[in-house]
Amino acid sequence: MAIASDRELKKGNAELLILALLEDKARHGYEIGKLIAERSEGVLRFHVASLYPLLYRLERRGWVKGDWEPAGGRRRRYYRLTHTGRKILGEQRSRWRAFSGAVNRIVEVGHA
Amino acid sequence: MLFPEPSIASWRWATPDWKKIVRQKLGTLPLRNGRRDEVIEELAQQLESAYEEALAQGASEEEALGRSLAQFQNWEKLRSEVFHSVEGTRLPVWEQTGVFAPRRWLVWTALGMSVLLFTLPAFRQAIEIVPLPGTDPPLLSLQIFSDQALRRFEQSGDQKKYARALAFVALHSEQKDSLRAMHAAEKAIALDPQLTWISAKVIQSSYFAPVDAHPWIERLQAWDPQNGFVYLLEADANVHYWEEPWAKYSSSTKSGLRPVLAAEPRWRIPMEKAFAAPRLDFYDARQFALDRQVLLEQGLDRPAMLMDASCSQPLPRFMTISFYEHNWTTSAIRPKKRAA
Repeated sequence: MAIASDRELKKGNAELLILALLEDKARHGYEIGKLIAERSEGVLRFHVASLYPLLYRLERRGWVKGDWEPAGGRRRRYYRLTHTGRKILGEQRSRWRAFSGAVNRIVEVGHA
Repeated sequence: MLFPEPSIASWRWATPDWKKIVRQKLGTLPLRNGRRDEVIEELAQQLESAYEEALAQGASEEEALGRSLAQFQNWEKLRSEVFHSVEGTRLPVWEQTGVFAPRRWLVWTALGMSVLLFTLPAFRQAIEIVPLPGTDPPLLSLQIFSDQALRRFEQSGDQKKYARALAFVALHSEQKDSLRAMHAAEKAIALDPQLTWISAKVIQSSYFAPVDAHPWIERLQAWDPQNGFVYLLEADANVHYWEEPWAKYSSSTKSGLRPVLAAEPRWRIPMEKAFAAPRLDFYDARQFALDRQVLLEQGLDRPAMLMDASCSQPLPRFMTISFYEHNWTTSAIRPKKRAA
């Protein structure tokens, strides 16, 4: 039950997670996957086979842009937010805050 | 020294060629504007990074390779999703390599041949006539032909006043449909009295239905009085040894039931007539000829179908025959003496 819920949660917010990680700086795919696992302290683990198709989808929509750049003696494809992507991130973040705030107000009321 | 010592360079040769691996796993990926090479390079970097991280954590090369490749378990799905994400459309069907992908010609050939089978009238008839597992009748039933097929035979027999089709229905109806069998047999015999022998099947079906078999027995005996089989059927009809009061004896092996049957005149007298009759005919040759003719008319006179049809052939109860034979040969049929 808990696993299924986590899956649903991740599926619905995968785009938000990626956009948020690209807000401050450009990152490559491997780094994005690692950061999601690390920052969520292992609670969220993005399946790599889903990560790249999602990145390509975001790129096709014009929300992120990928460019090859040198890194550690080789080149890597770095993704950065576009202007549109930044706007979408703002909207999705607002929605998430409203949603999580509402859930918290219900779930945490007994512990207040 | 013939061979130089392994150098760092030779070590690096053993490093997997990640691009080659990805290229092989993905197969054809028809992306435009050189995106295919970029995707391959990016996925290869993912594999390489995971491999290097596993090595850094102390894994062996083999373990590291396994962990790295485990990130992508379904390459066909990945290929399809990458194409969809990059191009915004589904991967063309001729590029798909799943089990039912067009390039799997063997699968499609098998499917095509299966479809072709359904265009053959004989195959369609066989599908229709034989009950499918899980449908009525139950799987363990002895019924060979489907209810649908028997209904069709009966309707055809009624319309054409064709006695043999009705006799076929009487012979091959399941025991639970003994009333239908009797009804069909009545009509068949009325149309053609030479089919009176099918009464033997109806008599057997009546054992498990609330129907009196004796009018059928009398009719059969009047039609074929020289045949020992008709008296065996009478003995069976008179004493259902699997019912009370006989059942309690049947559970105590042959030695218990045998003397009790010998003492029962309703069983012993017809058995005496059966053993005294000049001939014994189970009507198997007649049934085979009838089955073959009716099935031939339906385009189904194949050996397997005929063999299946023979399952509904009426047979006497051989256990009670062996009882009588034992009593007879040992001169044990002395019910009055035993009673005394």
